[in-house]
Amino acid sequence: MLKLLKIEWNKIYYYKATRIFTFIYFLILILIGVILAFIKPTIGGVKLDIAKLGMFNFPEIWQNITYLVAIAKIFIAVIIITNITNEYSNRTLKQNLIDGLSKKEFLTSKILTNVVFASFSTLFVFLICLVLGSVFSTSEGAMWKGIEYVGAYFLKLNLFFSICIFLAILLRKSAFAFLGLIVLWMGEAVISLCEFLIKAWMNKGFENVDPNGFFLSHYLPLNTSSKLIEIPSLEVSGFVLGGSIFNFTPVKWEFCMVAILYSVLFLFLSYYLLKKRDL
Amino acid sequence: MEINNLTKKFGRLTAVNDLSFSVEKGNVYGLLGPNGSGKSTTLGMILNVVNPTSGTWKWFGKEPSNESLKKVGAIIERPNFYPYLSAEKNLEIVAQIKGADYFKIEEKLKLVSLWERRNDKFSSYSLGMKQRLAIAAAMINDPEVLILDEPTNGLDPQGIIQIREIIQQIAAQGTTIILASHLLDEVEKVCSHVVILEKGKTLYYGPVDEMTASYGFFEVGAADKLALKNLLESLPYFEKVMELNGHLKAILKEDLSAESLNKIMFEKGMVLNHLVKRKESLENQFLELTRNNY
Repeated sequence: MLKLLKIEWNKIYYYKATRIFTFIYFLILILIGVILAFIKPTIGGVKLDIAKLGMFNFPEIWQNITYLVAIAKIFIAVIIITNITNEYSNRTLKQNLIDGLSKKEFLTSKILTNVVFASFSTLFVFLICLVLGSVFSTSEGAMWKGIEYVGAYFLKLNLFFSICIFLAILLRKSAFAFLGLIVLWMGEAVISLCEFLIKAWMNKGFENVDPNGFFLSHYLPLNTSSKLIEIPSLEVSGFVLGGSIFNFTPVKWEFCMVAILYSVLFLFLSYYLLKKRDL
Repeated sequence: MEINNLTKKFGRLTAVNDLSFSVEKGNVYGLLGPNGSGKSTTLGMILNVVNPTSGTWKWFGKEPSNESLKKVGAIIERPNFYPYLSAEKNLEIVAQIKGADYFKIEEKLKLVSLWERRNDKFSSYSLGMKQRLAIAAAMINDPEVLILDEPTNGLDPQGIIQIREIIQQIAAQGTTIILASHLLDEVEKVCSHVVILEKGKTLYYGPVDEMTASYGFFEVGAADKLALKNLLESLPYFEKVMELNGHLKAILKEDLSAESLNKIMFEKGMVLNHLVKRKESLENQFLELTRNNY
């Protein structure tokens, strides 16, 4: 295990581009926290202080911050995809295997990399939430309520990175792996739209479809990822009353389960591809 | 190492067809064959990167696993390294995989004279240097078997000589070497045994000097060429006498030393100005073998 991590360290850390982008990634995580706390833009003559809107109140802060910060995961996705596709284009995967690394060990080393990136990101996000919350939270609510969003964030990253590993191994070229990601994303959007239209047709009218109801398409891989940490729900009444506009919604556990299943499935498929293909 | 009935099919094409041979410790084997005869596929299979359609093989008398590959050093077609890493870092990765100590890195880089350039990126190396680094990587764990697939492909004459010297140096230490090549003089210079492949089948397998049953031939010359030719043809030792590059080439059908021939000639009153005994080159033997197959 330690051996595999050491090998990965040499492969990733000494590659200038990945080193710089990893650095930028963690900088962005911190910057998001700093900007949210100290930048108070004036929009239409109204000074917008998000802290006053209840953005950093426990327990909503856990959902708000993990939701915002999750966008930055694309940085790590790029690093993971190029790291794997480079192994194909430099033929170092072939050489690693010839040198005596097993295919299982190779995949394990990549999964370990994912878990390390996801763990550090989660730790950063946890600390950011904790610091911002303790400074700005105005609510009386218990601090640890809603902390499961940090766990959901960890699962979300692992699911996304597993999809990246799978696409990189499947397509072997970084550009195509990214295209694959876009195709998957658009494909899921189209399927979701179709399901919505079918429901509307069956219920005779769009107004009869409950957007918060059950949709099978929510359980597609990337949709599951976005369902893990949903857009924080807002209440305009809170703004009018001058209080918090955010509404706490707990993590939906069924999506956590589905996310774990998908992560395992994608990694298993990656192993199958690796095993079956000639190099 | 032994291979039994190994077969690989790519769709309708059979790249390796029911191949069997074994490799004994301490010998240098040449794996010969024209391009596309299945050399690289065979090596790919025993090195775990190509899945065989059927057949088995053993390393060191055991079922193959990635552990046995740690005792094997191999270079396939072209050197594969991380271009953005230095030679030393690249070898660190290989050493980690093979479980070799880091102090071996210095020893092996010195063996291939790259120690001075150890901190330079792999991408800045010339092809010859890359190939030498590949040899250092393959040697990092002092393997029992070294597999080289076309190690001098694309190198300039100087690079070829450097690689060949390194191979001979390694062979002298008692390492078993399997050298795949289509360059026959290369195989002839370093190998003791050969396996000849053609369309995925074994054409010949055995020691280099027993490849053909021929006794070799003489190259002879004299002032009166016609008389010499008649005289040679009247002797019972030769299968055929023909002209070749200004001399006569007399192909033996039984064993005869140059000394005896000279003596016979002298007794018959013929004075030779040229006499050389030769074996057919590996190249000719190889062409002979592959031609017979068509």
